[in-house]
Amino acid sequence: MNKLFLICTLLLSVLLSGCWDQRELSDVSVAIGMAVDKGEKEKYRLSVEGINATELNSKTAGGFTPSVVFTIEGDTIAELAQKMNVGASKHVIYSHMRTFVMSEEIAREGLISFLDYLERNREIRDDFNILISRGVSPDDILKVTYPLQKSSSLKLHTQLQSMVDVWGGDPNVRLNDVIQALTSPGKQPVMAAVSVRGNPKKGGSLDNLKMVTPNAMVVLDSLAIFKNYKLIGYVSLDDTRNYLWAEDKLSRTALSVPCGKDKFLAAQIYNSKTRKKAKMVRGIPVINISINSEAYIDAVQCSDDLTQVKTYEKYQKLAEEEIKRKVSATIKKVQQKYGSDIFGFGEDVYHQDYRNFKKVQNNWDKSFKEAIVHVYVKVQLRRSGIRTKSMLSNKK
Amino acid sequence: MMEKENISLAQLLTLLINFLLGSAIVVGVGTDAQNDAWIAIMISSFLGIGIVFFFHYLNSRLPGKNLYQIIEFCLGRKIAIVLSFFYVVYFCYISSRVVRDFGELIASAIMPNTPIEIISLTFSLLMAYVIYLGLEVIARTSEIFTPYLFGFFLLVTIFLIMNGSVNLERIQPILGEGLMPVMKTVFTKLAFFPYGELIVFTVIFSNVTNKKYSLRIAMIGVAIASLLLLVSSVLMIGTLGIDSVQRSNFPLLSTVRNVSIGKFIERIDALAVFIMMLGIFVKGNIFLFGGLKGLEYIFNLPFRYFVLPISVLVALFSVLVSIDFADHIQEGLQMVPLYLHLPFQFCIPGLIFLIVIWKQRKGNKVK
Repeated sequence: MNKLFLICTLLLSVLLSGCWDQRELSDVSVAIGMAVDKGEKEKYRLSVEGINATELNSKTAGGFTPSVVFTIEGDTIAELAQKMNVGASKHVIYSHMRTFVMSEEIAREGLISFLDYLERNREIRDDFNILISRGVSPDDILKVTYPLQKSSSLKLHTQLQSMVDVWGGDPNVRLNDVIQALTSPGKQPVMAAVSVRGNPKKGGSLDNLKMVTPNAMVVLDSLAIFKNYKLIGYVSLDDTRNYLWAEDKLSRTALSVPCGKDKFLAAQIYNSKTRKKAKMVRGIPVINISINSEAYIDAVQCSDDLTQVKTYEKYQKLAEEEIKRKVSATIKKVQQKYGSDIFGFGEDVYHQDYRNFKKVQNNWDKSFKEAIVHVYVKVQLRRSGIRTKSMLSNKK
Repeated sequence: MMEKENISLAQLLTLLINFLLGSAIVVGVGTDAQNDAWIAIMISSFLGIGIVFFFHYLNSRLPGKNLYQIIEFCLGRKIAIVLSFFYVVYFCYISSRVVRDFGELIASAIMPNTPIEIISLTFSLLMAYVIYLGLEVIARTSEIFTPYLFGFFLLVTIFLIMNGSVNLERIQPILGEGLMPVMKTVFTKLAFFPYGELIVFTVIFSNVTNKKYSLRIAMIGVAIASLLLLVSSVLMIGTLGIDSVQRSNFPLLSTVRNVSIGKFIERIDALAVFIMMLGIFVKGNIFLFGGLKGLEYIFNLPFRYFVLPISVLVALFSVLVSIDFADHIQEGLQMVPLYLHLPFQFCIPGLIFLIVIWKQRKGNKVK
């Protein structure tokens, strides 16, 4: 009996000692950023940013580099990701990746089949920003340091989220959104484009951390528009916000509205809701976008009396017209210049008018260009900060 | 010689729920019907209730007898032994397929470096241990863990909704292609898997103590399981979109991986894996138990003698049953329904049912 017990214990200890997949924290290095560029000799060039955790903690920081960027070339990202130990010392894990940057060149040539790896790999999760590096090489994006969050990938991730929260210049797309748009018959993907302001060569040094105005800074640049798996162009950050408005993804923004000659009022928009109604009328898609927003006044340069309901109504109207003008202009621009349905109108028609969508499905790009889009805006101005009249109204 | 094991109604209910969730929730069902997968599941739930009613009725014609004894009653012991042998092979085969489902899940999504043989073997040994202790223990295990299943399922649902990832617009257009693809999915896929697999319960119904309510409970169990499948299907399509669901090997897992609430509640794969593991455990166990009961009938020996060898065989065949994942899925979706499910789930039981009715009517006349 005792012998049997012993044998069982030994056998169980073999089975229970842990799986083959255990990896101690001291044996791994965490990759937080990936950058893909076109290779010189082979298909891709992958740069991975690994963090130096002791430098990110202010107590243990010793003034060394916060992260290490290493670059190698090969034909698939999947292979390169496992080949990082050409330079890196520890086992690189990708589960905490925060930023994925691809170069403009790769996107223009439509070499984005590596997205499959990102989707298929069990370690990589869909919580990283996916970006285009505009005008600079993507590994430069990873290399530029930043005083507050030393590593570039972490900085970008926080920066873009803050942007989404307060102004809305980042389309807030994740891998899943991109892939859904790529595979959908009535939608095209977008990504945020980032760039480096300053000299990227000087940005990859600790000296950059010591400047009040850093030598180089990674900035959010514009919105990259795709069509049929290829990058076809960019629209400005203002258009990005209008895009978010049309997509019902805008959470908050500040808007300058003209209220007189060279005079503006600033409205903080919050609680914005957008509904899209889509149907085909005689073969032409008709999209009705209705935007419902709440707002409060943040600044006034005009001298209207803000204690009067009349003024509120006037400003409301001005804001509505401004939003309508902006959103319609962006839609028109994308329709005419790019002809790429980034707003997902096709998907709306697919959802709401399936039978008619089937007829134009194969020619949706053409239909999108013809689409008649009506924008209806309703702004509810709620309050005006902690002052009533502007100081301007009592001008001597 | 063979003692009678009893299970209560609550245990039957939880067994049924876990059994139906089993591998169905792992690999995702009804996705052939595109966006209307949930409608397909809804319709097939009625079919499922009908199927469980049929199997239960078959059992209740001859109270206290299980599938093998019913076959004997109809065809005599000699033919019954042959037929039982086929059923034993069928049940053990499905059991190893179910274990393989779990092995694939672990090997491709959780622990890729661990050999699938080890996972199959440990899992089968666990099943062997529980079965050795008897049906009552399987039933109690499932009874104890089912509240956790509901809890985790609810948590996953709440997290997904809180996360804002469920977009119900994605299930539109409803019935865009009409009812035909849906019905086709119901009758060619869902009728066999998971509902037709309830055939193995014809071995278990005879152990339920409370005969009066067992039918009602069985139907409620099927309804609850269908509801869970339906909700999971809506969550999957609403979160990933049908295209992604169809491209996912384990759609529920992919769905749950999306959860990230406040950068705090995230990486909750374990909840989904628990739901799947419990389902697989109960389903594999019940199929194995059905097979062992058949051996008990054939050899007239208590099934406990066969537990260890058969479960090791199940572990072995769960590895050998297919060389790769595509082979596994293709076999499961194309070959098995036609060549195994159809005869074993519907043809033979249907035939036996007719013979039972005929024999009983004849017997009544003689009296």
